[in-house]
Amino acid sequence: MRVPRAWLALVITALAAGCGVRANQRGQLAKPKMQFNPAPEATQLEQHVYSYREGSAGGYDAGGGGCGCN
Amino acid sequence: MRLQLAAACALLSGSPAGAEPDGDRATVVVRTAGYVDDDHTAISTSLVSVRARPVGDVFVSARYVADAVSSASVDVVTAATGRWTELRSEVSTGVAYADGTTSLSADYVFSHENDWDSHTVSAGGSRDLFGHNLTLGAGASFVDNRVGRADDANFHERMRVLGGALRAVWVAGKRDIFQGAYDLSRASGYQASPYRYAFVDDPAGVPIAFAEVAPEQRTRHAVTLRWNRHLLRDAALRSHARGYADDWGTASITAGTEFVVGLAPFELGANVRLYAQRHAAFYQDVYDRPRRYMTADRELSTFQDIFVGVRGRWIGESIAVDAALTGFGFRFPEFSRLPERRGLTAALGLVWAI
Amino acid sequence: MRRAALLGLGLAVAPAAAVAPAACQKDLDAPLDPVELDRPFFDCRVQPVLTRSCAALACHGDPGRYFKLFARNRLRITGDETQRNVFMRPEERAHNYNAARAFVDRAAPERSLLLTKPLEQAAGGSFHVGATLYRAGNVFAGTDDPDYQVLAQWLAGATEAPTCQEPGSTL
Repeated sequence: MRVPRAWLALVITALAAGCGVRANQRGQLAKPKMQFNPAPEATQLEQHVYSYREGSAGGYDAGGGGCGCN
Repeated sequence: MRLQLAAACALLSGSPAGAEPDGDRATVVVRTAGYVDDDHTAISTSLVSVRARPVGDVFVSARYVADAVSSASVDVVTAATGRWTELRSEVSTGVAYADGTTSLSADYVFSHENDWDSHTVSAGGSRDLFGHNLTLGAGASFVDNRVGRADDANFHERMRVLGGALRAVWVAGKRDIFQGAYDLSRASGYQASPYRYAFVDDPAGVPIAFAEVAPEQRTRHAVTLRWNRHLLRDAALRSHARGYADDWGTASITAGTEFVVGLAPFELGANVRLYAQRHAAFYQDVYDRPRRYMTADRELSTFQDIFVGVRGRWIGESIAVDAALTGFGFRFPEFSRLPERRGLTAALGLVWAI
Repeated sequence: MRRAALLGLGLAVAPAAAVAPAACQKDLDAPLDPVELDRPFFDCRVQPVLTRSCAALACHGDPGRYFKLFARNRLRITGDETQRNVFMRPEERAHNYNAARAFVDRAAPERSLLLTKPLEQAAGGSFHVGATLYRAGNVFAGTDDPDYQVLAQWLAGATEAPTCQEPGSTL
């Protein structure tokens, strides 16, 4: 039971801390460079290079299909 | 072959809007990228994408991607086959709803090569909670791959992939934002390559070639953490790490960071990405004896790679132009036919907001 | 700064720790016993077909090929030009036997690469570079070719007496 409680406490603490960030305090966060996927098409092409040359998949925002065996 | 699980992940990245100029009516993106390595492979990729907002909070998108590949890689070249070329085409379309708090989306991707067709459908959604300080999202995708062999009318295989993804984005402070993600996928069907042969030691001293055989099921897990931190007056450090493991025994760690600084109207960035992988349980460079599963896929071996790049962007009122150059190196200590690989990628993009 | 560094370290380590318990499939590297096919039939009946139809120096007598075959007056294991036309050595025959068995599909022998590669696609065969090399079509136009039948019989379990002798060999 200790582990779930610890996680719960961590999540609540984290949310409480985050809730302190009001809309008028988000000037820096709102900048494009702070987005996780600011250029989806560029991300797709980058991930294409990685995912077809490494044995791993998933975890980063990119779509696409096909074998891409090379 | 790689999974298209990522299609579901793309749905969870939030608003269709991006760092690029975003038009009231539509945004057109044109990109081209080149890849060249010392394994005698060159790839040219071109992409055209249109995102439009026909009504209210509804977005539609369409995209076309074409890859032209020319290769004489050690993977496929024997004395009988030399350099080969092929074209891959991909079309996709999607619809999304995003009202600033809730987002929903659905996408379809069709990809065609001379030896591979795939259909991907995916859907996802997300919702902002706690005053937009926490965003939770989920998505799912299904990919149906029809695997062929070039110039072979009688080779037909199938491979299906079912994937799911969970995302959470947390605003941790005025300068910090985090994203956590878990991706799960299950691939079923043909997962070997009809072009590759694994070698087995033979008492005569001349290795024997066996057609590659891979397990027909593969379950993959990826956990990713990303952290963007705003620095100085107009700069950001964008870091990420991923742990990956699958039931073939492959495991990897990915870590990287990018420093981006704004010098209006320019934006400059430098990035580094490191990757280290442990081999699949059944991988051997040259097999000691015939085994149930055998592969000559170096992407299932133990290896490491590094990518180091720079990028720049000019951002105008309705147009942005960007360029990137990246160098990379791979080290394959368990793949004697290609111990190392080095190369370059270059990319150029134009974004036009209408 | 130190707090940020610790956070960064945690960020890097946590994902790997999260996926570490993922379980592996069982017996992924289990050994596989070779397909049991009659060795006398191979030496006496199959080897002549391979020598005649497959082992030319421009074809599977090229050491660069995945499927390599030794044969008299063709690829030799010693690499000694003066020995090119001597009788086949036991180790060369053993290699050919093992190489041929490696191209056998134990679950569906009729779909074995040993049969489908040299067979015209119109007759159910696979793509074969050899069919394009001389623009003369594939080795076997159809499954009724007598040499194809020899290969098919071997895969179907045909046997020969150990005394059976390949014409022109010392066996």
